[in-house]
Amino acid sequence: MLDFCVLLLLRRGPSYAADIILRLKEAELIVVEGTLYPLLSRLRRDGLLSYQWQESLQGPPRKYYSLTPDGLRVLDELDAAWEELARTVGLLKSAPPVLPAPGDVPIRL
Amino acid sequence: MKKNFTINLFGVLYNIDEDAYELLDSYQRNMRAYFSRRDGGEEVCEDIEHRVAELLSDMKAEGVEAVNIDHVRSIIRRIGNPEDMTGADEPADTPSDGGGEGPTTPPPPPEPERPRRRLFRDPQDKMLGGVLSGLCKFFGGNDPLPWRIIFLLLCLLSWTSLAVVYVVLWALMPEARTAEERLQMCGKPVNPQTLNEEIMRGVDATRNFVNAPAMQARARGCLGTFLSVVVACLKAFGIFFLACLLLGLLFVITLFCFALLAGGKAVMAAGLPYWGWMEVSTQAPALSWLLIVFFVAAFTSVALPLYALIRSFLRRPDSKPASAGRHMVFLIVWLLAVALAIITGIATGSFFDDAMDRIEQVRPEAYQEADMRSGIYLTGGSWGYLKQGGWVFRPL
Repeated sequence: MLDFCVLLLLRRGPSYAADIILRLKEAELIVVEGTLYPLLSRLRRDGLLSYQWQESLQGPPRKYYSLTPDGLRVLDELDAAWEELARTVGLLKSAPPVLPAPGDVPIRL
Repeated sequence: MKKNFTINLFGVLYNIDEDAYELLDSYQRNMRAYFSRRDGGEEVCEDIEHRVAELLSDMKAEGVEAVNIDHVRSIIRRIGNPEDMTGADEPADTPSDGGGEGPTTPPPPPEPERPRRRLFRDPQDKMLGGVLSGLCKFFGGNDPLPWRIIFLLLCLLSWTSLAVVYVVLWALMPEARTAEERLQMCGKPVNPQTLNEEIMRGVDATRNFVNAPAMQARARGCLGTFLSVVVACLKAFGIFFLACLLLGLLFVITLFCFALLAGGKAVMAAGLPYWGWMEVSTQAPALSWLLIVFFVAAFTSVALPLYALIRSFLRRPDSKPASAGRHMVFLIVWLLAVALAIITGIATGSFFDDAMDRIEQVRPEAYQEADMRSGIYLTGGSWGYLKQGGWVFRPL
């Protein structure tokens, strides 16, 4: 789940860890920041991400992460799966919770 | 007033209070200890160190002159303890397509059983090496003072031989360095919360100890003064025993050197052909065997510590230390070798001297016999010289 979100964030272009953390916190997805680092490391070892060092104006140099072609492919797969799941869940949610008595509620299809 | 350090993180300098530095350092060490067992751990540690540096430089930009302990606490709260991180990461490892909507219910924690206690030396509550404190905690106690008193009494009763046990335990028991190890020492469960508490407690404890040792003593009241007197006495006794032990050690070392000299003489004699080793060994037939045993034992008792020393230099600091069992075997073999070397060395030396004495007694008669010609005694060399000059001796 978190993998998916991180990959999604990186589709918009390379960014560095603190940036990703900021966005994930905005979306209330992570509580402690450290969660991200093992995850990034794992994704990189799986070949989905690559990174480049860049000097920053204030503070230490930063690692800018970006998607690899492999990462892009996996993201597309995950995206498709997500769409499908969301559609299914949406359908189920819009269905009435209990069977109403006939004539009570108009049936929507 | 507080002591201040300057630390260098990736080329940028930060001012940091002493206690804040302690906390940050133990946090990092804890992190390294935790992640060193996982693949990619080195990288994760480095990234987190970078993040810490980033947050510190943000603080600097906000005008924080010196980082204090509350700043470090907030950083730790933000980044979290290592157990938090992988805890959130691991469920993602299970193969699941995409992910579900809504909060996934975490699986129930699989370890409700009591955590196993481990034996460590306690560096935070120690008189000498923290051995008794560690033992006390291993057996579920809290205050090591009665243990110390009983141990010292036993020491007195056993004529300091228990002090040797103490030193051996000191050498064998590892020190509880990280928060995780301290928790294991006390038999507490290791989880993010307890770890955090333990790290904070450790820093608070050292701070209290530095700032107000007198306050603590007063808080204990009248009994406290008495106890502190007892503790001072115990400390003095401890130093006395240590001194005795050192003296004993010095004695053993001297004995060892003496044995080396005595045995070495015989070894030299055996190595040099003109000394007539054959003669010596016929005088003392057991000497050859003693000499071999002595040589092996002396070699072992010198080579083993050297080997251990070299290994401890080459060992990487974060690799796992050898097990207590191996330490024990090592120590026993070494002690045996030293004892054997001393005994055989001295025995060899005295045997050799005896043999030499006997040879000295026997030799003149044997030589006289050989160099007696026509009733006249001259040394072998002189006979040769006379013969060269064409002299002939005839009996009258």
